Amino acid sequence: MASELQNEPALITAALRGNMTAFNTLVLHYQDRVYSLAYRILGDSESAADAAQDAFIAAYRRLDTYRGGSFRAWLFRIATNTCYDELRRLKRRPVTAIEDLPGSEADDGPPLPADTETPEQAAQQAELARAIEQCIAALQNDQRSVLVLSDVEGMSYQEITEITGATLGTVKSRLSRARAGVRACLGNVRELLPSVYRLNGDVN
Amino acid sequence: MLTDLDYELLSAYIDDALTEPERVSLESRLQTEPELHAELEELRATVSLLNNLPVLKAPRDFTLDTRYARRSSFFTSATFSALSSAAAIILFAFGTYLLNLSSNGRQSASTGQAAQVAVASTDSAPSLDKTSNETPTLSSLLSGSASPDEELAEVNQNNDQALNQTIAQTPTEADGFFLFQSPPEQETAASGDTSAYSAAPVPSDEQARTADATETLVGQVQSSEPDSGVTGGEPVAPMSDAAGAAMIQPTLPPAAPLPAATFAPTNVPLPTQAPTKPPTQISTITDLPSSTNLPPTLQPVVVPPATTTSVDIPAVLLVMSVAFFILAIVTTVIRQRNRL
Repeated sequence: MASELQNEPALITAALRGNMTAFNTLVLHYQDRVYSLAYRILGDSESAADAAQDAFIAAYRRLDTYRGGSFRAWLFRIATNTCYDELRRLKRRPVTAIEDLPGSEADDGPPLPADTETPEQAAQQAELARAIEQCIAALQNDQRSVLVLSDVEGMSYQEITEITGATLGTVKSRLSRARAGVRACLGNVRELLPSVYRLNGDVN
Repeated sequence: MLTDLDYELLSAYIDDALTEPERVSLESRLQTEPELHAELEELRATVSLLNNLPVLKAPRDFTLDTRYARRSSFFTSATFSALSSAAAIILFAFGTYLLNLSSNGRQSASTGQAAQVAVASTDSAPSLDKTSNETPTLSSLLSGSASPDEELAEVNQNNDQALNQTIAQTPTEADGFFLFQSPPEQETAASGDTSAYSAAPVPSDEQARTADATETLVGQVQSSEPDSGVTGGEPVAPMSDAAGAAMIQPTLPPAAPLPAATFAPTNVPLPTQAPTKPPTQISTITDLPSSTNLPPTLQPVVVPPATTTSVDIPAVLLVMSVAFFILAIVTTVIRQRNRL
């Protein structure tokens, strides 16, 4: 989904040797995605920023545990675990009340998309995104992280089992329930945004 | 309403993760169940929306500054912790081993010396006990016995039993397996008051070895064991191994039971050798004082200085093992804390 860094392996090798500049290049490339992941798992931007920062610090310190393969998956594993730690620490629980969903705070609107097209599309995107984010946030923690990893970040089943430590059957089960939950949640919202939904609802 | 299982099938179908039979089955159902089909489309649209969610922009840069640059040294590496743990284990095992050795040695004098002392005939066996090793044991024995003569008499009476018992009781490294050969044999030989000691019913085919071992054993056992073996009482826990036997030592009451001993009479050539041996044997014991006024059997035995010095080494090893273990723990804690 995201563009790959051209010389990622070289950057990683340099970072392993203590080259901070090389590591920061990796950070700049992945920080939006890591932040997005953290935001959708945790539900608010402040916690997400803290978790993203912690994730990159942890990634630097544990860079020697990267054994090749998808660097993004390796990074997401660290980020997901950081988010889990944050969830445990804050004892966040999923709530379905609208007022607790992201975007409801007056001072902290929904995060801006990294890419925006025309103002109209941007507005529609924002509207729809807000609705989706709300439905995602309403899921249980386990279901939500699997859904974000799979459908938002594009991780494969196998990568998700490695990232979360869950079995394949558990991953599939959580994913299906999460999708059903978002579908049911959007079902209600979709009625309010019929045009937007139809605009974006291309069937794969 | 659709079931959870239905949603699982639909979800896997969207990801092309169904097995062939499952896929065929589901597709036929999709043809015949409109609700299922509608739900599939809803799910597909949902997934598509999720796929198209924008990547959010990070509110700030998360780049690290140089204070996070940390050179991990070898000492905080997992390798070092593992090596340290291994060293701790090895030192601990070795230290414990030496400690056991020295304990046995203390109880039974040195093995070699004990063996030689043990060579003393069965007649003098009990007395040999007393003479051979341990100063404390010896003193206790001596105090317990009225006189050397009495002891001798006693010894003669309890010859076999004492011998058996001592042998059974003195598990040394080499002798251990001699001691605990076959309980059944012990029963047969024993006159009934056989203690739990598997008094080394030495197989006949091992007599040659047994002879040597016996000498060693007797010396050691005797030294460790209080004099009169008759009482046979103590049901010692089955001494299945040398270590166990060594441990049993302390539990033996003064009137330690002497296993009726399969061991002594049948297998051991000791009796024949005993009478002549003690003087020479004792003389070979370096630490034995030349108090030859006592009957050879009762010559006091001084605990070899070597025994005491050998205790220091195991203590040092154990202390070092603890130090390495602490080092492993500390480095591991540091490493984990470095990892956030």
